[in-house]
Amino acid sequence: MTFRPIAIFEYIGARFTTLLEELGGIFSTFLQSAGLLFVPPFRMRLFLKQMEFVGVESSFIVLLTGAFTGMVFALQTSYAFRLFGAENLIGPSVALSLARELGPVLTGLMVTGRVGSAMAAELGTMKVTEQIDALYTMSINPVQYLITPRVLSSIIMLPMLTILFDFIGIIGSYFMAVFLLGLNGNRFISDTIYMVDLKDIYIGLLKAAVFGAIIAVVGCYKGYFAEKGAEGVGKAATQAVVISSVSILIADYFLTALLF
Amino acid sequence: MQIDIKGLKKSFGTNSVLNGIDLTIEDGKTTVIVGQTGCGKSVLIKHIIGLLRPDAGQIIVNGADITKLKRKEFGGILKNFGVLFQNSALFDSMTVGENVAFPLREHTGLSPTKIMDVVREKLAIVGLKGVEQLYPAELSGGMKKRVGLARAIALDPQVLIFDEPTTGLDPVMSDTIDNLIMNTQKHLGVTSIVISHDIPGTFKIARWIAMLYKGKVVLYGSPDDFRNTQDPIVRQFLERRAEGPLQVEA
Amino acid sequence: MNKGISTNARVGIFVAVVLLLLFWITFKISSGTIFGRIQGYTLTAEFDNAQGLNTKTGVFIAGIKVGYVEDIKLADDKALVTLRIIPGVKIEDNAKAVIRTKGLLGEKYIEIVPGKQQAAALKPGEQIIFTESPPDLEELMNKLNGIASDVKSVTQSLNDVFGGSKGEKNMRGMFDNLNRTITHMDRLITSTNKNLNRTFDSVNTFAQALKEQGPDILTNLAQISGELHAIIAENKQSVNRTMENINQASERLDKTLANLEVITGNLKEGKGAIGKLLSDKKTEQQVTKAISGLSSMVGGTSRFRTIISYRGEYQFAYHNVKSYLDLRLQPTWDKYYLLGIVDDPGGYSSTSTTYTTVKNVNTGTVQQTETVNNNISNQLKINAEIAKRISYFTFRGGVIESSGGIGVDINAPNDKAQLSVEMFNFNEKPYPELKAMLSISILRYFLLSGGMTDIANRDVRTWFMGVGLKFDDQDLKSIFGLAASTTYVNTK
Ligand SMILES: Nc1ncnc2c1ncn2[C@@H]1O[C@H](COP(=O)(O)OP(=O)(O)OP(=O)(O)O)[C@@H](O)[C@H]1O
Ligand SMILES: [Mg+2]
Repeated sequence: MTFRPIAIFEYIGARFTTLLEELGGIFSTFLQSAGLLFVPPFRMRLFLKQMEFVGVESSFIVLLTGAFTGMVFALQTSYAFRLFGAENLIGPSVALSLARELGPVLTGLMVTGRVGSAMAAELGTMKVTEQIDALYTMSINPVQYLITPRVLSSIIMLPMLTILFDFIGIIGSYFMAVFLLGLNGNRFISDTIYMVDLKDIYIGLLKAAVFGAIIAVVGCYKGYFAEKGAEGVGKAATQAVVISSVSILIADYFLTALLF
Repeated sequence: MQIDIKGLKKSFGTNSVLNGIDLTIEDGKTTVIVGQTGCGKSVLIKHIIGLLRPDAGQIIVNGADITKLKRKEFGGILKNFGVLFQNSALFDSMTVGENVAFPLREHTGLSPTKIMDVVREKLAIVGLKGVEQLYPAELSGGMKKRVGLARAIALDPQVLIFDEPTTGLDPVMSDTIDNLIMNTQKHLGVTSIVISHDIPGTFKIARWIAMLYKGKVVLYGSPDDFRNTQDPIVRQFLERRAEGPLQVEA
Repeated sequence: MNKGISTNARVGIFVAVVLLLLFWITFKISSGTIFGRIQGYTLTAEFDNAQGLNTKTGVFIAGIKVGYVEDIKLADDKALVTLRIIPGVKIEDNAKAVIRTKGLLGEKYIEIVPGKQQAAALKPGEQIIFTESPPDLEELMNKLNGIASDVKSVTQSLNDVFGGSKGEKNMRGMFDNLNRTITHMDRLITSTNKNLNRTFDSVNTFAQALKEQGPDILTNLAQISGELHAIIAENKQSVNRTMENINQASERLDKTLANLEVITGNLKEGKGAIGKLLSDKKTEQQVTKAISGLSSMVGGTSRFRTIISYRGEYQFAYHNVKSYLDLRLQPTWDKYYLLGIVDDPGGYSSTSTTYTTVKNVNTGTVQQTETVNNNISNQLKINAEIAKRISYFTFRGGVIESSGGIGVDINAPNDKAQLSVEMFNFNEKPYPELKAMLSISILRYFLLSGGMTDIANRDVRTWFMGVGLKFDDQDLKSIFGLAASTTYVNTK
């Protein structure tokens, strides 16, 4: 094998093309599923089921991570703020970072792990066992039947889970600050309320909605185009998690730059 | 509903599967497609239902070439079709009852109780009783196949497309399914396309038989034509011999 | 799969709970504005300088948010600020709006210092007349100057008391007296060696006794006090003299206190920056609150205490006594200021030569006598320390024995025993002077101590044993009226 420098560029070019294809595929999946939202039939039951799966069933893991995130964050910031005698900033800084960044991003990542991979695996299995073909032969639009409810319920449920995350996180930090670090509880609350703006929370929720769309669209896209049996399904699930997680972090950067 | 397949060609990469198929499915009759495993039978019927697009050729249904239709426009035609996939393709998130009820719920305005009646009736036809609450994962391979059949006939379609309906069933059950196909054809005038490896069953139910070999139809005719043919390939296939011009592909 | 509750119900409950939370958070944060619809009423206030204020800047009363800045406008060289106050909060027409800073570099906020309660409440749209803008840097410097001059006047008054030839003489005299007393005691103790040994044995077995023979401790204590009683009774005269001296000293301390009173008076009236701080009602309230909070923890010790203590330490290596007289001003249980004088016979010796010229009347010649004095100079040293207590640890620092120093005291849970380590005089010896001391307070007014001084410098270090007296302002009041220790001992 001789070394051909041009091969590097060919490789990069090929990867880049694949990336663009992937992006195009994901985006068109999103547009299709969003468009089909307004076309009958409307299947409420499917939406509810997905809402239960994405929202209700994720609430425990979100509450758990939220509580610990809040507690750890309060503990860590307390070290720094104590140096400056600025303990009163612990509450606000925890609340602000939860509302603006940690809430939506961590919720997004948790839900990606739980829901995004599950969607990819489920649709992937349906794909390789011809269930999607079966749907199609029953003159049912598989995108509308499978993807639209998943995307919509994720867009709705992610902000809701983020509210839970923010709330429990602040409670966790309150617990840490008041019971373990000995700060005054009322001060903690009033400082927090003073520093946090509604805008911070709502923008965080907006971010969460975008993340919800990313998680569902990527998961469904990867599953819907899964190939080659069980292995293909596993690969789809893994890729869905990787792509969603990275996309969430990238999107977070741009959303932060854009919205704040 | 007559289906005319003309010069259909399909290859996956370098693997040329269909190499110019010419075949007519007669309206109201049962056509059985036979051939070696991997010869492209399933690929052929996937073209008929629009899941695959040919590289060349036409499929003419009701005078229109359906290979030119968009996926969305296929919907109207598919409503007349009942399809059984080779591996059943049951929705594994739904119970047996929900699987069979699915097309009814989606495409009829029947009340839930009416739907349940139809579901029970169709399951009874394929010899199943009291399995409505089970999930596909809890069924045997043969039971799955029969649930798939029940789902395919749920809407009483004009065209039945069965990919190996009797594979994996015991002889008695196979004959029951064969009778079902014959009865629906006889009483309702349904057009059936059946893929089968079961030679006696094929001779029993078929009005026409088509044998695929190397991407082409080697013989198309009545069961009697097949019994009397001197074509060595067809003879070897029907007599199920390993030795002969037919070779097992490596 | 449904586990009794349907999908619809589960989703419904989830959504309802979350929306309730969101509603609650929204309501909390917008405090008074519901869905952006503004509630409450507006007031205006004119500031000389509204630098750092923004719309949405919070308005606080007693640290609780009661509104925010809605608008800032320029009006005749002044900043006209509109405040939105949440409904139900009344602000009196003699209240004062003050721009304050959170922390050292924190952001600005507006504090409303409430006026008199019986004053009329401001009506919506009215103006808060009294305002205070944040000081600019120049003003701050002026204030710092003020603080500096305050400090100067404190030291001046201290100087008036302790300094000067007269003051020094007085103090020296007092210490001489005390010294003599201690020497007497020393001699006494040496002569009653048997007793002493027993006493110290008792102390030595103290820890063990604590373990095994609770009741015996009392006996030992009784013995100790009995011995002290005997000693003091035998030596009534010198004890009386000591008390006299203490009386004298206290007179002088009185003066000091009077001076301090003037200072605190100033502080009370709000003169100077610290004064302002102290006289500020808010600060006072906060301080009081903090103290009352803590006092529940430490018992009644949170009142302002003045503690005077005297300690004599017998240094075994030098056979002399080093004396300490400390005045401790303790505004809160966890903080005190200590001013003290140390009489150190081992101070720093220096040699001086005095030339005396005598005119011989008979011969008419002038004769010069040369006297070499082995002066022990710098005997009188000064302590001035600030101490901060955190649970069982007290950290202090400042001037220790006329040089910079730091120390830490570890208190036993009941404060009856204390282990102190201090370090000072970093320059004059190879190693800084390091002193470790264990002191136990007994019979309320007495201190027993022991330890080692100048540990790091091998050739000069010495073990010491000490005895001391300690009174706080309450005790002084009662003691000075009585024939002091005799009475006390007699009643025993
Ligand atoms: N989606 C596809 N992509 C690539 N190759 C395919 C695809 N579907 C089928 N093939 C190939 O086409 C050929 C025919 O497959 P097909 O499933 O039609 O066989 P078959 O005649 O139905 O066999 P069997 O009787 O075992 O079911 C096989 O070689 C298969 O590898
Ligand atoms: Mg097949």
